[in-house]
Amino acid sequence: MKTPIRILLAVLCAAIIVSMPWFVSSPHMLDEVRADYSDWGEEEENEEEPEESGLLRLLIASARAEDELMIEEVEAGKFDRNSTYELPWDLSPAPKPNPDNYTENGYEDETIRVKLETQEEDGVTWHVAWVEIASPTQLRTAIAGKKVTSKKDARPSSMARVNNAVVAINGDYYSKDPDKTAFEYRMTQKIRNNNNSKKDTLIIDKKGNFTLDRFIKGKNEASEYAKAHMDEIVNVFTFGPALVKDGQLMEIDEHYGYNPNANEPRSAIGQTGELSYVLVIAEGRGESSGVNFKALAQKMYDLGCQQAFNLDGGNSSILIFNGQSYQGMPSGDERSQSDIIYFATAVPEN
Amino acid sequence: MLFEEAEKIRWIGGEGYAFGGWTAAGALAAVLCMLLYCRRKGLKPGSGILMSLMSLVLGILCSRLFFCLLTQELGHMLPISGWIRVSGGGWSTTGIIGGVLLAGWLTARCTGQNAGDLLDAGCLALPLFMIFERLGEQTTIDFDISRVISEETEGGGWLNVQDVYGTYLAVFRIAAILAAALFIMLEIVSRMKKTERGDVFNVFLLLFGSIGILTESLRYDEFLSYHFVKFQMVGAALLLGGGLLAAALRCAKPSKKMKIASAVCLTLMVGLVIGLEFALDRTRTNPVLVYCGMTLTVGIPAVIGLLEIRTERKG
Repeated sequence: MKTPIRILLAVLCAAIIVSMPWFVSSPHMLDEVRADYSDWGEEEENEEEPEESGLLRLLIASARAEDELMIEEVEAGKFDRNSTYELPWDLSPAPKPNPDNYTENGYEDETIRVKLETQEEDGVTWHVAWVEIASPTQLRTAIAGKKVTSKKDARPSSMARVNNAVVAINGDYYSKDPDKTAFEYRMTQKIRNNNNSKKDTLIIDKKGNFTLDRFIKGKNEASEYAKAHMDEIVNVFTFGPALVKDGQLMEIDEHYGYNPNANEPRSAIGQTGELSYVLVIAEGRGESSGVNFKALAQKMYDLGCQQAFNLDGGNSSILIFNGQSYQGMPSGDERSQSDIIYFATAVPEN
Repeated sequence: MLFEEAEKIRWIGGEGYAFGGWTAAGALAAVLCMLLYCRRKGLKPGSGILMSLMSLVLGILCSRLFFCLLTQELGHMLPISGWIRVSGGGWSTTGIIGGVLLAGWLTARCTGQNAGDLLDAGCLALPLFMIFERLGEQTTIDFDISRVISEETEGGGWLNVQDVYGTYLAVFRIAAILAAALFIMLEIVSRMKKTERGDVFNVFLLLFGSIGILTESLRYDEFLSYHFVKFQMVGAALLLGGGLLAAALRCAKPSKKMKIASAVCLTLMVGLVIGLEFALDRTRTNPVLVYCGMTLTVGIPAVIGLLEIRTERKG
């Protein structure tokens, strides 16, 4: 090979190497690209809102329930429904709860009231947490990664402690969604807007109300709803199935994923009234046999849920109270996950 | 966005990416390594620089192609318009290896050199590039790290990354160290008297394949994966399988025992790796035990392949 050609080849090599810092940004896809190719597009987010009384409203039920406090009113308690404290709609940690306000099975201050109980029924151990909050900003989510599209994981109890959760439950482990069909938001931040064609969806809005979308083949109610109410969305979970919708016990599709008929550990979240919620864990794979979706739905219905939604179960199932697993699981045994749902106090730290 | 996804640097009067800077340094080191190797082996003038250029071009192309074809980030294939949007990220090390091996073969065809010599040059340079590439991954966030291994948030060593939620293995640093060790081993192999053309390439396939299976298993960032299938791990397994096959084919008289052992090991390895991955994700088996098992599982086929080559060279 002649020298000029070799020089030319060397110059080309040098040019490629020198230009690499300009175009080699990251081994993984950056969020800006992911956003451009994974959702409906930003321009659609500002579509005009359809009238609330339209067909859409009939199709999609929401909790918008009247006051139905499931926790017995406590005389001269600290909880004040009219408290004006609020937290930001972001992924920042909540204020630290006051340690003096904890009891063995509860917590109460002027912005939050939590009561937990364990129930044994037909060989199944249930852990139930009743929660009332003064502001919808106290219903929060935390993620393991530094950004919402991260695939990083963390132990749920660590996430609960770091974010000062009074009580928390595992989320839907969105980073492990193998089909990436999920429609997911966390604290108003979009993770994915992919059209969901497989799973039910839970949308939590800025009033703290639950809207459940049942997957109906050929229809995509959740994305339609979301497009119309984009400014009101705080958290969206794609997992399910929907267990109770609009106060009605739902029939479970036998072909729904996550082993619907098997007795497994399960987690669920429900809304019982305005700013009133219930978190439920059914233990399984041990002394407690676990439950199938039908039994879980019945339980949520019996607990008075207007809306109830199944979350990730199996080894992911965990209820955290005061920074520790309420079912007594050592932290080393916890399955690390991408996200949790938690309730926090809104009383500022001193 | 809470954090800058990809760290930026000042680069020739403009703005560039730190990860790109690391890969450029790696590419430069790899090119120099190839040139020196070709000179040392007395290959035709120009073979080294042609091999370098082809490796750069094909490495970049294959790396991007592999990523675009196999990424599951979107739930659907990246649209073609996204393929050329290279600054948006998305590269695969498996693709780079494929590109460099292809470059070796093509350069041999163009220059009339022995393909074994050029593949050796490429395979010696690859681990050197990997050292820089892996270290560059520290400039992106939450990438190439393990599951959380403890709740300690302080006091972790260089092989860990820590944040408010605990300690994670910095798999990218482990992979960089292993790449450095591999480079040293290959350099030794290339200088041994009783080696033949293609031996460095063969040893690279065996060792990089087994190391790749381990490091891809350790990482927990869903990179290029679908359900439990990690495509880069599959790529590493193919390299290891290819290495075993190459060892068997290149030996003039491979013993029947070795042939049977290779086939059995390879089959067992695939089954065991799948089983161990399942144990990691779905059971509470001690991860240290699982990784000891994984090391044995991927190490034995590599050792068998190395023994085959050694036996052959000893005559």
